[in-house]
Amino acid sequence: MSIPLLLCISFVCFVFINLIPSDPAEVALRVRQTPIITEEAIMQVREELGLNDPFLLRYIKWFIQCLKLDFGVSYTNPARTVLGEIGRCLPATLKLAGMSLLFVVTLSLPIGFFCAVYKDSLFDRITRGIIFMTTAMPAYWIGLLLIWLISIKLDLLPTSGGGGLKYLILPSFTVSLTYISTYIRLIRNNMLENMKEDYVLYANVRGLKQKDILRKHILKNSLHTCIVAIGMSIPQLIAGTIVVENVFAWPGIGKLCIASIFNRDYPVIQAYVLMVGTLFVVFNLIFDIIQYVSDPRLRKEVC
Amino acid sequence: MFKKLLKNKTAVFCMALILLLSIMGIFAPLFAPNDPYENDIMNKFASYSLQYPLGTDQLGRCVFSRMIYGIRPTLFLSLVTMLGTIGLGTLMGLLAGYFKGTTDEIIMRIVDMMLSFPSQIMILAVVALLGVDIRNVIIANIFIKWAWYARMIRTNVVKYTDKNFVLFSRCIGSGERFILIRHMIPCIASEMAVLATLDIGWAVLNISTLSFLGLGVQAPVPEWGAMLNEAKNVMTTNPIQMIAPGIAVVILVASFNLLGDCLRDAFDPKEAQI
Amino acid sequence: MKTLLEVKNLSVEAKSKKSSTKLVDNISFSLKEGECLGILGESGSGKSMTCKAIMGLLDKNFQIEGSAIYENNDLLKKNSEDMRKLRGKEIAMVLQNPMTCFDPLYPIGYQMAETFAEHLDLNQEEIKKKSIEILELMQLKNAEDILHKYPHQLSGGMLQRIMIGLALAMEPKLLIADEPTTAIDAVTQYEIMKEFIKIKEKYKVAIIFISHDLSVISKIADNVIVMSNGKAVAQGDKNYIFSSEKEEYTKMLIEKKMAVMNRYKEILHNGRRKVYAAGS
Repeated sequence: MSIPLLLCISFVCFVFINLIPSDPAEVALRVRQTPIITEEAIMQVREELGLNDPFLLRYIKWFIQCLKLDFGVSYTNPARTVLGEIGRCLPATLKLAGMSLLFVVTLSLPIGFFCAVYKDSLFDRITRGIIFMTTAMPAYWIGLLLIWLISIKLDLLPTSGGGGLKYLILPSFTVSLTYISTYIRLIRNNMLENMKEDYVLYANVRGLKQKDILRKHILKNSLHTCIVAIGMSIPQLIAGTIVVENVFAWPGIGKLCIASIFNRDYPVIQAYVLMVGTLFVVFNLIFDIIQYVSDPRLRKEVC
Repeated sequence: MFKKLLKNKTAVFCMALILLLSIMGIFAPLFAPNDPYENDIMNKFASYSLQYPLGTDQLGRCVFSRMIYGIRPTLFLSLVTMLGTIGLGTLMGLLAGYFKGTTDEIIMRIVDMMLSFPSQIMILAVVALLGVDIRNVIIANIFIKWAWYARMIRTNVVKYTDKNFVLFSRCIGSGERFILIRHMIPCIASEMAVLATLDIGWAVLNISTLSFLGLGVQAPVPEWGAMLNEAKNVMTTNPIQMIAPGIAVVILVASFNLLGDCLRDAFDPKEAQI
Repeated sequence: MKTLLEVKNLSVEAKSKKSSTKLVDNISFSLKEGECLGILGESGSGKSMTCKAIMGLLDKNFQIEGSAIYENNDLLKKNSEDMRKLRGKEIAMVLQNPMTCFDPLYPIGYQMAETFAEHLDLNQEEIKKKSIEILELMQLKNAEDILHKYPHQLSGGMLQRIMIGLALAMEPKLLIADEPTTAIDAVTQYEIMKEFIKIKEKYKVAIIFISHDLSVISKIADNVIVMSNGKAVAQGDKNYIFSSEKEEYTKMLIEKKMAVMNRYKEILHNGRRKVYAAGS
């Protein structure tokens, strides 16, 4: 199921790029700031970029190159390869995504847990109010506010730029905030639903301690769904850093992507979309498998 | 159904707020004290006064007037996006769910493929493709988001197609179009209403985010996201420029979300979760 | 035989934001050691609610009035920690849907072990031995294997037996059985009923048996309460209820059941009608 999907994604990517109204050869010439664009120059660049071959042939050539991880050269700067560009910026984004994931997991699990256990208490209601507000806030505004409050007013952390841990905290917290609200809600609702299940009633009937029931039975059942949900959104996390990277001037692939869009640097955009699409499919597959393996009900029965 | 909604105080409050903002946007010239495009560099970063209720920005323009005029692109564009997305999504969902068979298969495969991409990225890609312009942003949004709604509507339609009154209607010989319009649409109308309100919220956030990145509404058109983009650079000298449009966005989106939640509760009390 | 449980004027009301409904209205009964009380009634008549209230399993959305005296203590006035210690040990309960009552993520052996660990002071070895003993007592073969199995790998009948075994393992004084045979097929139903009768006669455990099935109640109960809409419409000795009760609802229940039974017997004995004697 996933392999045909991957093929489809790559095909769609390629088709997309070829739909652009402007002529890539012309654009390339313009961006390279060639003073006079003549017909011959365009023809030459066409040959250079291999644009004269038939469609399917170009697709196959391009696909093979992708498999070799050769995404061509950047239109804006032919001296650099697309792979090189992406490789330069990717680690920074991965660091950002990783830290955000850490925030999400460490904050949403306990808070969601306590919201469910102390349902309708003051803590629960305040948390729900905060969550509601956060979902209405645009991510970049949260980032700006945080910069203003913490970096400028309180001068605790640096405002922007890439670097070590100090630089990482604010951007990753901003990214994680949107996901934290979703997951707190998810965990809370999941746990509340599980609390109504028959096995909880039976555990009570057997006289087990409340905290044992919470920990061993309700939490484990809820975690199972939640971890899979969190895992499947990892690629979303990686892709969604674009805005935050912009606000905090974090040197990741998001910044690269925006710059490419403005410069119409199509190979970079193409590679980026392809990469994210592939990540999506791969992660979904991995977490599908994890879900299958960890739930005894889904494994084959040996009765 | 509507009566139940009107009894809910929160819903009435939200609707009133949205209505107020819409009226302010439509009749902007009446409400705004100044012309939003008028520069007065000498007067930049002025403090609050009667003439400039929220002060001026880095080009000497009245912030308050820009916010009021900003309602227009923000709200209007989101509305158009929402209508397009939900329109296309509902149409496809109806067709897929009602006719089943091959139509269903084809549409659902396309939906699956579209859903397997992260929507933000796809929207960026489409904007990249078509060029940086607000129309392309709307097209990109519609092009990507319809899949989500199509799937939801289809699930609902499939639930209703097997109900007795539809079968009976077919028995007495009503045409397919008749059934679709007179029976199906009222059934899913409640779902659609909830989705519509929640979607406007999402559309507002999305359009302002893209404008913030410089990919949507272009300067000097006043739009809240674009205003925040400009405010980013002058954060230290004039913080109000950054705070005001942000709060405005939050209030607008929160009202729509709250309204959507209230609608959902009004139409199906079993679904009241958070 | 002394009285084990004395329930007086028990009422349960469900409180919600706008209204409150009375789910159980003024129920009183008394239960002696080794005796079986059958609670008979249709779905929604309040049978399970009564027992859940006695066990302290209802949350604060329910308002409970009345008293339930067990060993000179009012169960309804006890705090939750004390009730918890009683539950599973002295007062045990068997529930209706064995398939959903066990946590699907843990094997059966683990769930049995945690119950033993909670109430008894045994080490791992002893717990395992006891679990196997119980399973064999319930006539389940391959007891060792079953301990490692997950709930979805076992049938409803087996799970029900495990539940009964687990309840019995604590040597309770009172066993409440909430429609234990409803979700089971007829053949297994017969076997399970045999177990219950053994529990009553051999181990002398007092049983409250809830069901909507007359035939099952007639087999095991000594006294019967008939409930409808939360109220006790008839109460007394089993034989009296089944043969001479004048109350309308009860009479209707019995007549309908008898009609089915008589037709069944007619078919079996090729047309010779026999008078159905209650409790055969």
